[in-house]
Amino acid sequence: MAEKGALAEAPPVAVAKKPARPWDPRLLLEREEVLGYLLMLPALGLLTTFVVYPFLYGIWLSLTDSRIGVPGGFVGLKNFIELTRDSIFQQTFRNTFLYTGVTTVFKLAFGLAVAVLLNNTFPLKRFVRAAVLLPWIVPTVLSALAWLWMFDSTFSVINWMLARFGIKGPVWLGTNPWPMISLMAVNIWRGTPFYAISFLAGMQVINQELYEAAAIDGASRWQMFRHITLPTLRPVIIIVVLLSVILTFSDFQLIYVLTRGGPANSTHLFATLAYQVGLPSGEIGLGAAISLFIFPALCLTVFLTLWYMRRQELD
Amino acid sequence: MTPRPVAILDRFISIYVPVVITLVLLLFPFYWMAVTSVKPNAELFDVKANPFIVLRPTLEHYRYLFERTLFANWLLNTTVVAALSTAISLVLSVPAGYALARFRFPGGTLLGWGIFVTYLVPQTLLFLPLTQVINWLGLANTIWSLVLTYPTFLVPFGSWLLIGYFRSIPKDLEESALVDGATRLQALVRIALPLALPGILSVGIFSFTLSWNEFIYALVFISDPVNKTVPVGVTSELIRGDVFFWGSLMAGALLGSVPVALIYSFFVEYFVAGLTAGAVKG
Amino acid sequence: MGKPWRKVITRREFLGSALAVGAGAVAAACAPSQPAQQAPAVQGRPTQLLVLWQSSFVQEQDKLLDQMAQDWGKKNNVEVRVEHIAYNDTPARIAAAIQAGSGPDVIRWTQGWAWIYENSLVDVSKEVEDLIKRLGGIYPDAEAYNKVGGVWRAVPWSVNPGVFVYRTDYFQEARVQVPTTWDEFIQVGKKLKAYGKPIGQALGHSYGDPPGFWYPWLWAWGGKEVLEDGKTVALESDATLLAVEKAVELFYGALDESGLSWDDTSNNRAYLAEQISCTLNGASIYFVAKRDFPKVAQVSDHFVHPRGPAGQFSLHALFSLGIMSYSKNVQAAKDLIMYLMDPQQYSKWVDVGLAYEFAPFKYSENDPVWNKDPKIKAFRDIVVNGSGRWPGWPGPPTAKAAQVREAYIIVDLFAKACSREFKPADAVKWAAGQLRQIYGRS
Repeated sequence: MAEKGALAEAPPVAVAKKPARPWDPRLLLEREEVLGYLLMLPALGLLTTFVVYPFLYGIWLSLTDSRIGVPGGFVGLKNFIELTRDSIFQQTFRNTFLYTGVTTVFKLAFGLAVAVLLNNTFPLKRFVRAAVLLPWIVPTVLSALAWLWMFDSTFSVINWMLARFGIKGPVWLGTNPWPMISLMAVNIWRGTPFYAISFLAGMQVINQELYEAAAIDGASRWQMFRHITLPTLRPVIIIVVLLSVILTFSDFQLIYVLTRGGPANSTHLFATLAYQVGLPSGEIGLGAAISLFIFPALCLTVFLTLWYMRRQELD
Repeated sequence: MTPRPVAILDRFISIYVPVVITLVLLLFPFYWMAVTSVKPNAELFDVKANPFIVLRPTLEHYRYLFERTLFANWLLNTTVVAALSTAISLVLSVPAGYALARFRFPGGTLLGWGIFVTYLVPQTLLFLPLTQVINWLGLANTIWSLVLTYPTFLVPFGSWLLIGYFRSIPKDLEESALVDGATRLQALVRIALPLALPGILSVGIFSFTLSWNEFIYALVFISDPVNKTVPVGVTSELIRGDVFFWGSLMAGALLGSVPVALIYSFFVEYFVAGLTAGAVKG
Repeated sequence: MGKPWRKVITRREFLGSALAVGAGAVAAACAPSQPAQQAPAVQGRPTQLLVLWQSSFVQEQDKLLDQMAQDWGKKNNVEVRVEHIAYNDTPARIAAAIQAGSGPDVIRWTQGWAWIYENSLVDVSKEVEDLIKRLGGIYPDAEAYNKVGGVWRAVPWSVNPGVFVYRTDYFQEARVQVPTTWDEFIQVGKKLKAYGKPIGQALGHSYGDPPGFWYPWLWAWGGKEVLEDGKTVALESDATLLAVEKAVELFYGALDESGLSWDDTSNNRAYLAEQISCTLNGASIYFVAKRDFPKVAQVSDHFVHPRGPAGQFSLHALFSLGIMSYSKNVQAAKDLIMYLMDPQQYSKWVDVGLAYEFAPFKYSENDPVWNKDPKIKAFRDIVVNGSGRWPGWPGPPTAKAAQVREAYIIVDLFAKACSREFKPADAVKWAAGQLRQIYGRS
């Protein structure tokens, strides 16, 4: 509630300097609600221009039996109901949650570990910090192609190495459950740098004196991490996880390149199934409905996270 | 950090070994790309050979990339698009993120949600109607179609990431500035922004990367090969039916990432080094 | 190239606004039937045509096409640009173009796309009938794919058949003959697998090879997805069950079991790496072998699809050129297509592409390209013998049938049984359920 206090104090200060003219623009800018709106206006403007129409149109599509080039009629929730009964969709639903859940846990753990690691000083630090970002920089389509080549059933370099140890590697993208595991591994590989560098940046605002004081008190590294690093990082962690969950939930390129949802539709996520149903088959209404399924699930996640954050703040 | 009497062995185990392991895991695919990009085709398809060894290294795949495709153009386009859309996004999302992190005003939460919700809308749903919008605005087949649409996913992403960074900065600094007579804008520009610089830089890096990676919009909005971006151009020209030009594809992947990483290395170091020195006096 | 995005602005002007020109005016004279589609001529500016095409594995073929299109453009004062993209990215472009009502004037795409996007394609009946007359008839699958409800919606451009490419040396060493029935095929495959060089066959989600093998397999054993009406699902039958059981026998007995993850490119690599002895493919394997691995090419040959109890069937990739109904330059587009289809131009294109694709019109049986290399004649034979069918057969290749294909239901029918996710009978039940869902949708 410190915020409220700050607000209460601010206006009198300003008023003291510039009395009497309630519509003075400079005075207006001191009002939280005015400045708040103003600061958000450009962002809102852009989003309204480009997203509002497509989004509403997408919702409309999902409620129709439109096909590409053939405007359809309103069918209510028929598409959604049909989907819940469809076995491919059910599998896609499970896949999406599994994929997001598993990869997020790993990315978070690895990301924190790498960030803590990179926050030390060591030779070639600069090179290492940049190198760590590489998996995230390389265009996904191209890195996915590299992985495709590494997972190739004939030329897999991974299997070649395994074979040196006398292990016969699986057909990575072919025999269940390996396709899903492979996709998750690539996603984790790709996403960890994002977590790590976000956290590393977040750690820079932590007051070093805190660590020094803790060290004098004889705290272990783990205790410092647990009681200093983690609490300070919490807002960053929450938002990074939130953003990453969303990106992962609607992941497309990786699957599009590596498995295209196969074998036997076992690796579809919402986005790839929506693409397959909506575009090459032309069932754009149904495709839109699949895309929109992401929405309630994500909203719930976001709501819970925001609620959690707000609670943290009040503590 | 205060130098503590730690044995070199301890540093070795707790830092060097993990760093090396991390690097190997994260960079192996790049090593693999590099090897593939200099292998002649005959060796590429030889299963009996040790895949790590290149007998007769060749630059033919790189030559192909530059002489027979428009790779240089694509690289330039991608850079311009990513830089411009990142700049636009930062200009829009820094104030929005700050407002959402610091101010309480009627409907503020709702607007914050509104911004966030646009980020939830899947691209696979958006790109078809968005094509219409692009046409209405007369942007089809220009890089501006990308420069202006990429911020639609960058701004929500950026503002929300920035909320996190702004909130992790202690409020008291700005509050005391206000008490000292600064205006709110001054408090934002002079106090909050410098403190949030690492966050802003990382948002910039991430935005740049997201634009750098984008595929669907670039595929759908641009038809002139000269105007394409790296991911779309490379896949269009180097995946020919059921024949992949592996060497050139991997060469393209490397050239499309390593230079960016080198540029980032400057920024990463800057924000890390510039701020550890105790800018926050709490 | 300084600032490539600069020149874009000029391009956009004509994309955005309605215009047709010089040649458009000439064209208008020949096409009184499409007055509405002729935009008013804008002085001085040539007509613009954008053609969307897939990148050929023979890059010279793309170059030649661009050249021919530009030659024609120069003569007719039309600015033609051919954009080449990856196969898999085409549906997104088509959908976006139709949705936005602007984009490429002519699109090359495959199989039953004319049925899916029927409403967005211009009637080209007159042109196709003319071609049929001049080029000596057309193959039934090319007709089925592109003639929608009696109206030609796209001009059949090329057929890209697949046949079995095999290693003559491995066959000899494993003491097997080229199979003529699918039962023989299984037996031959078992011996080859025992010899260490199995047959390779994709079972993943990829647009070419997996459907190219598994649809004919289903048909040859007597299975079919629907009845002649193209509506009633008829998958659940003893014949289908037999096909699935035989597929499982084939998979474990004769195939390289990594096929479940294969896409269209995997068997090319596996064959060139000498891992498999035989695989169904277009001519690309053979030609890449000739270029990069001459020793493999020397011991390679081709054979056509074996017969099953119900006959001999095959499924070819057929490409056709559609003119989009939003195009402002329909007549110019038609003229360009007719120019390219003319054997004088077309034969050059086939020749450079080494007959990987050739015209789905009967004159191409005698194209000189077939004398270049006797080993590629199988590609002609499988088309000429009329065994080619289409997804949805014996009904028409409707949008529903295309959806089934795009959803890989038939491929997955076999994949699910081969991966042992389902017993054969359950796989059939599952696939029939999926079919009913798709065909049942209004």
